Amino acid sequence: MLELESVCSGYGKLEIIQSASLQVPDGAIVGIIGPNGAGKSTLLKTAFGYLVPGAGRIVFDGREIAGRRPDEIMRLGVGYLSQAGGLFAEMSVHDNLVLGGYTVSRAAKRQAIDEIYARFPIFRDRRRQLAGSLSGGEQRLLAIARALMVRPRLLLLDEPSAALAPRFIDQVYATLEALNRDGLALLIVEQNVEAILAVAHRVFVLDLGQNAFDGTPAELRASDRIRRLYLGEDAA
Amino acid sequence: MNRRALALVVAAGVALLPVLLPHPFVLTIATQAAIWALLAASWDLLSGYTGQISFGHAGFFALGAYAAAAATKHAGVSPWLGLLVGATIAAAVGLLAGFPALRLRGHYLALVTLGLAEITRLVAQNWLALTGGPFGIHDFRSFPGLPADALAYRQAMYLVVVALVAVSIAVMYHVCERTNAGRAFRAIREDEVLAQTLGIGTTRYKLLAFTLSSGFAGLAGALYAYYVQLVSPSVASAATTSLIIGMAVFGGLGTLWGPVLGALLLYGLYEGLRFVGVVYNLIAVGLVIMVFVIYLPRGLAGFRRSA
Amino acid sequence: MLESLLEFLIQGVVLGGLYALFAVGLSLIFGVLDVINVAHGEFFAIGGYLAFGAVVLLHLPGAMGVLGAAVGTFLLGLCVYPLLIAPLKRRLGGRPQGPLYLVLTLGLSTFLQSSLLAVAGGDYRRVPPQLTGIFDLGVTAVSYQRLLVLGVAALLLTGLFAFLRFHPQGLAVRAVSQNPDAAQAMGINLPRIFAFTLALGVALAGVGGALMAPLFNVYPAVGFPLTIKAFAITILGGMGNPAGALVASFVISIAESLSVMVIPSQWQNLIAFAVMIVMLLVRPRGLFGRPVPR
Repeated sequence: MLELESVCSGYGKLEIIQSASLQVPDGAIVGIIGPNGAGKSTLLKTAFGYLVPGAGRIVFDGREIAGRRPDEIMRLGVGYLSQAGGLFAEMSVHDNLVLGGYTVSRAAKRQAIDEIYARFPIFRDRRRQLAGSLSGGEQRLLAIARALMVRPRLLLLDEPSAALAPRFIDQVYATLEALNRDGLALLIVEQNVEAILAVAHRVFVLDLGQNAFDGTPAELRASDRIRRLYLGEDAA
Repeated sequence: MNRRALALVVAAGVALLPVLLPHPFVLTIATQAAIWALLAASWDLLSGYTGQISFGHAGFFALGAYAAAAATKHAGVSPWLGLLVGATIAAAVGLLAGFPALRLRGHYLALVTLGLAEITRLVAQNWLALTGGPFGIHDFRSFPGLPADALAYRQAMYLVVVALVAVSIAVMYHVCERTNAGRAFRAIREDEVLAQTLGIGTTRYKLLAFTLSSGFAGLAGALYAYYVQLVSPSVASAATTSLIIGMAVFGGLGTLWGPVLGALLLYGLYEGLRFVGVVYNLIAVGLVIMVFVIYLPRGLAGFRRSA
Repeated sequence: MLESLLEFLIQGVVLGGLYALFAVGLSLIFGVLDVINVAHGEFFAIGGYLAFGAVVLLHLPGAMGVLGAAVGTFLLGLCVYPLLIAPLKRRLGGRPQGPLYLVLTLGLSTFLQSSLLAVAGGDYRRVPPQLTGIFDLGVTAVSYQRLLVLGVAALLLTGLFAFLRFHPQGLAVRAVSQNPDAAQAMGINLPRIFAFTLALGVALAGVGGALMAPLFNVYPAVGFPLTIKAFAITILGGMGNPAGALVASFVISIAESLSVMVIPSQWQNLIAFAVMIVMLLVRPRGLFGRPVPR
């Protein structure tokens, strides 16, 4: 579904990703892990068009999307959740959702919002509340809900567990798994290795801007070297 | 031709201009261009080197001009001393202006300096007793001891102005390129937080930049006053600031010699276009600013570096 | 005493309408594009010239002059983002370099003002008022023209705020001003919103110019004093907060008007700048703005 091939990217003269490749099959959950500064977020931003790759190919559903703008890529069926949440903090829950449906008709928007309120009753109850006043976990769920307004086929998530209490991490990942069962593919950058290893079908390890390893969670856990370098000494 | 030889040739040319081209019009343009060069260079010290972009330099220019003119007219101060008065008063106000600048960045700093310049202009326009209001100050003597003959007067005036401008620019150049202060200025421009953590007294150096910059702008103003022998509120107008910024952008920020060259060329262009029709010269300045800011940020100085 | 107070208060409110048309547009542009438009006043002047052209040269009715000014400045404003701001943005990348954009719009201001001088000459152009006559309020008299300015300002600004609050595109504009990255992720086309918002902001100034033309006369530099005053107003209200700019416009206009009772009138203009400098020193974010990064 999504394929990155030998992508190089960075910020101006600073090259963060030297050459990274990964593939996300239809309906799969793929994780990206690695040490800080490895370029994980940068790679995700490049995939979504916030950054233009210096080299390499990015293909979604057979279409070359490298260099396209985020709003163009979004219309192809890709959603993006930034690390900081990316909510419009000064707007209400409802307005955030409405904005999520910016690209669809009023009728489709209304239906999508109804579905979201059905799935997440907490947002129906709090729909007038300012998004910035929600708790961390609620904000994360709202970001996911907002992304669902346009029924994407692939979601890019940058550290969905960041700054969340364990209870909320479980909630977020349970929601993500449920969405995946309904057919939504996920590409997740994660610092919380345990959370992603529990749900991913495949994991790519990025280090110093390059691929270091990739495989199923079981394969990762089986390798002593990977366990030591990236999973923490006492990973199961 | 190496740099030394080139510099000597240029210096000789500048010094001998009144003899090589003893035409009143040429000398007038050259003298005023020199004053603008000093003004542009002083702006570059603050905005190009230290990164504190000021939109209010017309105000310091005006302060220097008015202080000098008023001192000579009302207090009988000799013009030579008047230069010092103008420069000092402008520097003092610049130092005061530096304090709010310590806390403001980017466009807020630009706006506060713009506001100060505008206040200066309003005071100049409305405080009749001090500044002569819209008609300004006139009827004050210029430098004593200059020849009476019209042409010789211009030649002497040219030499006086150019000498003072050259010395001032040399001083600024020395500070910016050869002292710790200059290094501090650049550090502040690049990354102020980093500079602070490295132990550079950013407060002290910012204030120094403001004081030096405004002081030399005030000197330019005083020179202007004694040269034109008329000071009116228009010297503090936005057109002045626009010209200064245009000259600096044209020449290349943060190089000192760039804005000097930019001032000489742009002022030449400005006056030259006056022949074509008064209205067109500022259009060129506006175009230059826009085109250079977008496409040629290093200005003319950028061409030299790539050569 | 009370009569004087009331008289100056009313004059202040009427003036506030003009200030508001100017400052709200300026603040909106800053809020969405992060650019301070030094050339805002030139669009005011252009609006005046368009009204002059329509009414005096083409003999169209006054309302057409205002409409022409609105459309003309809007179209011209649409060109500013793609031709000037976008290329600079491309070169600078994401690095915030506010003052450079200020220098750019300063260049635009110089260019536009001197172009107007070249094309239309420096003479003051007289434009007949769209409304004649005086409205006698007892304590003071206000010309119908001035009331028209206030009325149109109220109408347009109400429309603007309603648009921002309720219309999907208005929501998009607000989204971009709050979080451009997230807005893009919603499918919002940033360059289009930037260009549109800028055009909208300067069109407000253009309408102001057309309406004020009978009162100020039209000449190339007519807009500049207003621009710098508008900076002061937007800083007071909080740069980037159009509603704040609206409130601040009236605060300043009424303060200026009332000040005549205690200081000579030529010092009126100083008030706005004094307020601006004090605000910048004490509370840079203004009354209603977001905190300013140090």
